[in-house]
Formats: sequence, C-alpha cells, structure tokens
Amino acid sequence: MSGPGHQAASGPPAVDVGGQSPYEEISQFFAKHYKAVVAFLVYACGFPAPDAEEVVQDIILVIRERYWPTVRALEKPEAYWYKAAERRCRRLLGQRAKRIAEGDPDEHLLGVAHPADQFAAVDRRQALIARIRELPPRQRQVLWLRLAEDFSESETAEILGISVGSVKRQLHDAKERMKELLGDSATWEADQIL
Amino acid sequence: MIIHKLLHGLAESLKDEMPASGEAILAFTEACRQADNDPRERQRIGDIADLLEAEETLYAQARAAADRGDTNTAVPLLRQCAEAGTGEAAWLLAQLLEDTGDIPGAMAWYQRARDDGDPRAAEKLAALRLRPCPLADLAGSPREHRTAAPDRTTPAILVSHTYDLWTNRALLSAAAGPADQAADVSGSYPELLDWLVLKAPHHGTAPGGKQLNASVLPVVFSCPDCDHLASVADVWRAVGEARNYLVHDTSWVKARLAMKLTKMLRAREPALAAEWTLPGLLVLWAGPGGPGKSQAAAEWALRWRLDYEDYDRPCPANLGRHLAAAGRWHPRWPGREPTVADVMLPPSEVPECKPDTTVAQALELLVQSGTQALPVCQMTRVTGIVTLADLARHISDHQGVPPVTETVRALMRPATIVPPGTPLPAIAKAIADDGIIAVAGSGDQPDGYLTAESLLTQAPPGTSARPAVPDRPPLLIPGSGAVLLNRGR
Repeated sequence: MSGPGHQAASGPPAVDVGGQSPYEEISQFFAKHYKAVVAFLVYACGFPAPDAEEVVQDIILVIRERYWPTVRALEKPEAYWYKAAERRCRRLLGQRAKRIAEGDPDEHLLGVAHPADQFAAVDRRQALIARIRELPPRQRQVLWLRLAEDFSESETAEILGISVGSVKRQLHDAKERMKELLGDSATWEADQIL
Repeated sequence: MIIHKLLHGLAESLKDEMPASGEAILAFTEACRQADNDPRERQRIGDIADLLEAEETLYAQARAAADRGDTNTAVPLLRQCAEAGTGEAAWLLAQLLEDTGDIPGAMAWYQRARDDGDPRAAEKLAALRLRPCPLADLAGSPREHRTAAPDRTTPAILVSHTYDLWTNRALLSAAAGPADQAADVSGSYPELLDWLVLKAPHHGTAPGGKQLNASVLPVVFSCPDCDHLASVADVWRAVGEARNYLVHDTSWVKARLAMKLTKMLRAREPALAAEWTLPGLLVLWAGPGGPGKSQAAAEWALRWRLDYEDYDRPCPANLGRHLAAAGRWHPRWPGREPTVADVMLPPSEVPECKPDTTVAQALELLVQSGTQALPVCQMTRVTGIVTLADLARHISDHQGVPPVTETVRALMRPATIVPPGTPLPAIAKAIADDGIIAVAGSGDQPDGYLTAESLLTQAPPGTSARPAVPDRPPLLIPGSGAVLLNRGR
C-alpha cells in the first residue's frame, strides 16, 4: 500500500441516501474499522483514549474530504487510516511532551496502571497491557499491527514508514521481550484474556 | 503462538468495550455534517490533511536526497523528520552523520532509534562506543551540552536505567576507562547518590571519606555559583577517583537529580564527566509505599523544578502520573497552587436532596451526614443548595413543626458552581457563606463538591477527604416519619 498521493477529490462524498452511495460506503468502512484503529492508538501508541477517538474521527474526515476515491481502491484501505492516525498521534504526543513541564500533570494521566504501581488493582488484561507498554514504542506498534490486527509485514512497514527488514527484526525482538515479560507462559495460556 | 493468541484476545476484548457501531456511525454522521456545514471545521480538517501531506513529502524528499548521496540536503530534512519521529528518519540520519564523521551526533540519533526499539541502532551504538572517543561524547541526550573530558581516565559517574547496556564487558571497559577501574556498583550506588542528595552527615560519610553538610544541597541547587558547589565537586571527584561508577536500575527522580547535579558540576569543573541514559519509560519509585527516600527525592525534584529540556522524549503519561503522585505527597509543591479539584469530594460522598425532598428529610440528611449544607439536584443537575441555618430558621418560624409535606424548593438558594481549576483562596467567601460549592463537570453533572468540612480536613493520600461521621440516632421531628439516609446516588 502506498500513500494515497495528492489526488484531491472534488470534496467529500455527499450525505446521500439510496443505493451504495459514497457516504454509505465510507460509513460502513468507519463502522468496521474504527474500534481497531482506536485500540491501536491507545494500546500500541500510548495515546489517551478520548483523544484517540478524536484523532480517529479527524483522520476519517480527512480521508473522506480528500482521499476516499484513492483509499477505497487500495487492497487494505484501513491501512492508510492506521498510518495517518499514527502520524497524527505522534505529532500531538510530541507537542504535549514539550508542554509537560508547565502543564498540570493530571492532564496527562492514563487510565491504565503503570506496571510498577503495586497499589493499582490490575486485572489480568491490564497486566498484559502493562507488559506491552514496557516494549519500546516501535516494537509495540509492530507487535500490535502484526499480531493483534494481522497486517502483513509489508503492510506494517508501510503503515509505520519503516522497512520490511526492520519490521521482521522488531517483531522478533518484541516477541522475545514479551516472552521474558510474560514469564510463565503456561499461566497466561491457562487464563483467557477475554 | 501464545503471544499471538493473547494479543488477539486482548484486541478483541478492547473492541468489545467500545461504543457499538450504531452509536459510532451516529457520531460519525454528526461529525460529517459539522464538517460540511461549519467552514472552520472544514478548514481544520483541511489543515490536518495538509500537515500529513507535508510530512509525507518531507520524508520522501529526505530519503530521496539520502539515496542520491546529497548529504547537505538530506541531513536537515531528515533531522526534521527524526525530531517528529517519522518512520526510520532517526536511523537514517544517524547513519548519514556517522558517514560524515559526526560521531556524537550519530550516537545521539542512534540512541533515539534504539529507544524506539530499533535493535540495529543498539548494535551500532555498542560498536561506536568501542571506538576511541572522549567520554563526554557518549552522553545520551541529543540536546545535552557536552564538555570534552581531557582524558579517558577522568572520574566519571555513569547513570543508566538499563542494565543491559552495560552487560557487554567490552562496552563497559570502553565507556568507563580501564576495565579494572570500571565496576558494576549497583549495590553501592544508592549509598553514593542517597548520600549526596538526601543524607545528613550523622548518617555516615561519603565514599571518599569526606563530610558534606546536609544543608549544602538546597543551597547548591538554588545558587550554583556558591562555594558549596566546590564541596560537592570535591566529593564527586573523590568518588570518581576511587572508582568509576556504573549505576543502573535507578529511579527517574534520582537520575534527574544526578543529571542536574552533574551538569552544574561540569559547568564549573569541566574535568568531571558523566554519562546518563534515560529511556522514555522509567520506573520512578522502586518501592511505592510510604514516605522515605523516594518521597524526599520527589520533593527535591519538584522543589527545584527540574527542567525536561534535555530529556529525550519523556513518556507523558508516566511522567504526569508520577509527578501527580509526588505532588500529593508534597502538598506545598510551589509550582502549583492548590485548587478545588485537589480537595473536592466526589458526588457519591455528598448526600444530595431533590427539590421535592421535604424539609424534615433534608434536615435529617444534614444531621446524619454532619454537613452544613446539601446540594439540591434535579436529575444530575445542581439546581441550588439548602443550608442547615436556613432549615433551622424555617423550623423555628413554624414553632419547631414544619408542615409534613413542605419541600425544600422554597428554601433553596442558588448554588455556587466553580470550575475544577479554581484556586482555593478564590472560593473562601462562598464556602463561608454557603457551606458548600459545586465543582463543574463536563456535562450537567458536577465533578464533585467542596464543603466547609472537607476543606478543613486534611486527608492522607489515597483516602477520602471526607471526615468520618459517627452514626447518630435519627432526628425525630414530629410528623416527619422515618428518614432513610442516602449518601450515595
């Protein structure tokens, strides 16, 4: 998948009814993938959940406004959504990091307990999330896209703007690190996350 | 396979928790309409699209320039991309800088790539560290001001979060001078830095056998040019001469203190060298419980307002979280004036009544909860308050027996509603007059309440600010019947 390029559509699809209008098409596309994109931003990119939903919505509006005819023709249209949302989040996170010295720390809190926080009542799922968060950012993203969302190596590379070789290497390292972090994998195997 | 299954299960369960598709489509439809009808919203979406395109173009141009060997063009473009964290820009930039002989610059960007999780960068860093270079060039932060150390045997304090970095013996010897001088002193490190930062003289002497008055450090931090800095430098030098120190598994605050201190020392004593390696995610408290060294370290960090300008990409969530925890430990943190949000009670801990609550019921609630005033809520919205004084006056007017069916509607007074960030001094008069104020939430529902009682009660961290109220016998007002106390909602 390559970027959708600069082909500007003639405006957003009209809010129309009847048949499979562009609007219905993009609505279905949105409904099908938005949860996965939000989950990727929150748990793989470390973006706060309410803001992640806003970013996901902004990006789908961008796609609708400019790129829908191009994106819909891609083999995996959602990959562009992931890619653009990840970039938007990274930029916003960078801006926040610069402001953090002056801001109220409470604004930057995340709902998920830090792995070092022994007071937090973390359940099994949160414990897994906490372990994923111990991975370096890029490894976390590669792991999520490859294993949680089943993107191919080349699609993952395109979404993150890195090489396929790097994806392979980072996935390998991320898996090894996860094995260390999970410790007794038999315990995890026995427990269902769902 | 187990990891694959776990990730899949996790992703699916997370998706299940999100709003149903129907709600999402409604929200999407609304967002589309807004974007179509509101020119400003449309402009905002257009701006985001432009920015994404610009980033894409910049990265493409940078890579193209690098591919054709145009370093002069590629380096500034890649630098912009790397600072924004785009793709593999940090890795590509580091390679270019290495090719052009800018080893410190290359190491800084390799380090960035390594912190992102690129294993190639970790290998490159290790290889570069084996090359002969001044120790000061090894500093981990890209923006750190580096002063060249005169030789490799200069006393050094090495502060690193990750032990893995130092497990390679060759790496260790290259970084810390002669191998027999370098040592893993993780066991003795706490004594070193805790002594420097926290301990009073009567708790022991420094590793160098010299004394340092405990009151020195506040002075040092607030007045770097004072003579006390020389005392610290002497101790530091004595420590370094005895042995190069490798520090790992340290806390963020201690590492920050060490960085701050070493910077100040090196400005004065260029011969002193230090290296620090701080990844994006650090464990702040080794032990989360109770006051102790960590608390004292947090107070230091907060009091002296350590700046983050040379800290490469802190993790906002964790940083904010730990600072908030430290702030709770240290309520006089000068960087932040206490606000109503700090001491407010959650709505669930403040009894509420409705406009059609009877006077007797309201009085019973007030007495049982030990407060001076009650919020009156219609659904979740605060429509007013009733105070104990007003009710008492009303009952007195009726010779102690208010009509059974009389409600508080006529006795309500307007509620004071303030934003959560309101400084405490600003609400002093309102709390004195009314006994309670509501703290505005995002919707109709208040975020919490501030009562005169909660304001006067300092709660220990992690507990409710609400004072314990002893059970009292029901208030018997003739004709009012029994009243059920409902403190929840």
